[in-house]
Amino acid sequence: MIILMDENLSSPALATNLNTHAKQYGCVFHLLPQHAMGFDDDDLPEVCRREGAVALLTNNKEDFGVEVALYRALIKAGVSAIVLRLPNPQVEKPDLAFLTSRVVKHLRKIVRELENANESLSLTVRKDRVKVDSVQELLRQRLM
Amino acid sequence: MDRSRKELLAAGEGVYTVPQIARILQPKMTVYKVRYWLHKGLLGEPIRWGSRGRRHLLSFEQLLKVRTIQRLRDSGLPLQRITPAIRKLSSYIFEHLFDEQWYGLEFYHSNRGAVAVGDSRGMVIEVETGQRILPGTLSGLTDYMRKTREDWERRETDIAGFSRLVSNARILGGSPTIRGTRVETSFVAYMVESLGADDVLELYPRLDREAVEQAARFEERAQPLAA
Repeated sequence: MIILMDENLSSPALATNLNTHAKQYGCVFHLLPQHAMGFDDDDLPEVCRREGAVALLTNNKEDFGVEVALYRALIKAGVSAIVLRLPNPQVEKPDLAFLTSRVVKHLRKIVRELENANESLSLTVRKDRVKVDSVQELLRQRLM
Repeated sequence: MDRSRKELLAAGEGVYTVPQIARILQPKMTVYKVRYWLHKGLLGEPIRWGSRGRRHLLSFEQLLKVRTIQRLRDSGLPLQRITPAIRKLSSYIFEHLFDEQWYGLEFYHSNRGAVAVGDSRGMVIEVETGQRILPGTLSGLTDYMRKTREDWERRETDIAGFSRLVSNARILGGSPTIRGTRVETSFVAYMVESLGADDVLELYPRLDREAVEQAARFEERAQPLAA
């Protein structure tokens, strides 16, 4: 199972760290290829297809327009999103160790959810749990 | 699904809130001005009208309309003239600007401050008096319209004072990003604030210092508007 790292999180050091643990859960993290940098939202399906990715690792979005654009692209691509909630920097620093441990801690559940998914899911990774939502439903709620 | 939602879902048109447009068009633009022009009908129908707890949603085309109205106001014409002139001009300009076929617009300026506008086919529309007034071309405005048309076609606008940042309607709904990437300025600023620029550059070797610093500066300046 391939998980593509969106450009915000396409750090080679983070990919290396995650892949040290990912194999035991049957997944691998791919950096966004150089040629795909700055791809349009509408190109997400093609980028994921080329990489063979079933999910996109990204961070939480605070901007309404970004959320809507991302949800729309995910549905079109038929892929899920693993949304890493970034911490309050006053409390915790989002450094390499933090980003790695936050994902690895929940990787078993993430992989299980992705294996059983029959639609695009949003897997929001928080400190103690992973919140699972239908992307279609999230989009509907945003547009109400 | 109603019409507004279909439009919202249309690819590549961008989805902007009023504060975000003010942020991208800083430093001259304010939330108040965008709202005022929206409610005056100068921007056309938004993608979605806001209400309590829901924000107005505007398109990339409307972002360019806001920028164009500001440019008309900046053109040196007396404000009491430009306000009614904008009303009369905007429908003509916007109809041309965002049409499938582009005929470059040219602007004229009389001694007493009247405005006339024509397109490259030689048709001239005279505003206010209806008379033909062609003493001098407002070349700055003409060049601006050409640039705006280019921005419209590529669905991307520069951010004044930040050469490495853009808003591209086709990338993350138009959220400001580092040019040529999908890396959001808000994300970079958050990481810089948390870790410092050196650590961010180590974590993201594809980014360069100038771009990272511009993103952080842009968000710092924009924060009061976004709040």
